[in-house]
Amino acid sequence: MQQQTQSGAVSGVPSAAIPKVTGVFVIETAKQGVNPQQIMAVIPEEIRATTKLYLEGKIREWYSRGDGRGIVFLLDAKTEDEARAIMETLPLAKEQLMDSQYIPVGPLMPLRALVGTGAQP
Amino acid sequence: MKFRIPLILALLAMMTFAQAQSGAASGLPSVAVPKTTAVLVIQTPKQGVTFQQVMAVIPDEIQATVKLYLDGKIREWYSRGNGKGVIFLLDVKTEEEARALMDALPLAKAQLMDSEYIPVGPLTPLKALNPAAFQ
Repeated sequence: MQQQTQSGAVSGVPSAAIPKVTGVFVIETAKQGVNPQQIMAVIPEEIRATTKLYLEGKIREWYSRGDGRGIVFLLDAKTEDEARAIMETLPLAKEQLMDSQYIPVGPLMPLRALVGTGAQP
Repeated sequence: MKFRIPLILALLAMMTFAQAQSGAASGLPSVAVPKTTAVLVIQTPKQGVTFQQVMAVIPDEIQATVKLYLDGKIREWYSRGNGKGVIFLLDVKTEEEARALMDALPLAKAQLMDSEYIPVGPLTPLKALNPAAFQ
C-alpha cells in the first residue's frame, strides 16, 4: 500500500504523472470462508440496490469476474472515500461478506507526450 | 528435524483441506461465471523500479499502446490515481490473449512491470431479474 499526501503526491513520481481522478475501480470478492448460500440470500436486495446506483449514474460500468468470485465496478467517484461510501450502502458490504479493493483512476497521462511541444510527459 | 516433518505434513494437509473447503465455499456457483468479454489488466512498476527507468521506455510504450488502442484491442485505458501504473480493459476473450498483448509491449519486455489479469464479463446477477427469460 502506498501512502499518499492530501495532494496525491507519491514519492518518486512527478505531479505531471498524477491524473485527475475521474473514476474508482472496485474489485469485490467473497471473503474466505463465506459460502455461496450466504451471498445468494442477499443477492435480490443487492441487485435492486446496485441497479439503483447504476440508474443514478454512480456505477459507470459493472462486470462479473471471469472466475465467478465476485464483481468489478467502475464508480463515478472522485476519491477512494467517495467510492467506499457508495459501496458501503450495498447489502453485501453491510453483511460483511465481501473484500473490496479500491483503485482510483484517471486519464492515461503518458498521452501528454503526444500533445505538442513544451508539454512535459 | 525428525518431529518437524510430520508437523509440516500435518500443516500441508490442513492447508490443502482448507483450500479445498474455501475453494468451494468462497467461490460463487457456476451460474455466477460470465462469458468473458474483456480482460482487465492492472500494471504497476516492480518494487525498486524508478520513475526514470520507466520514463526511458515510455516513448516506445506510448507508440505501441496507441497502436493497440487504434486496433481496437485496448477498449479503455487509465492511469492509476497515484501515478504508479496503468489499468487497461482489453478486448480479448482469455487471460492468455491478454498476456500475449501485454508481453509484447516495451515496458513488459524491459521487465519493469508487474501485471495482474482479471477476465470479466457481463454482470450475471442481473439474470435474477427474470430467471425464466435469462438462463
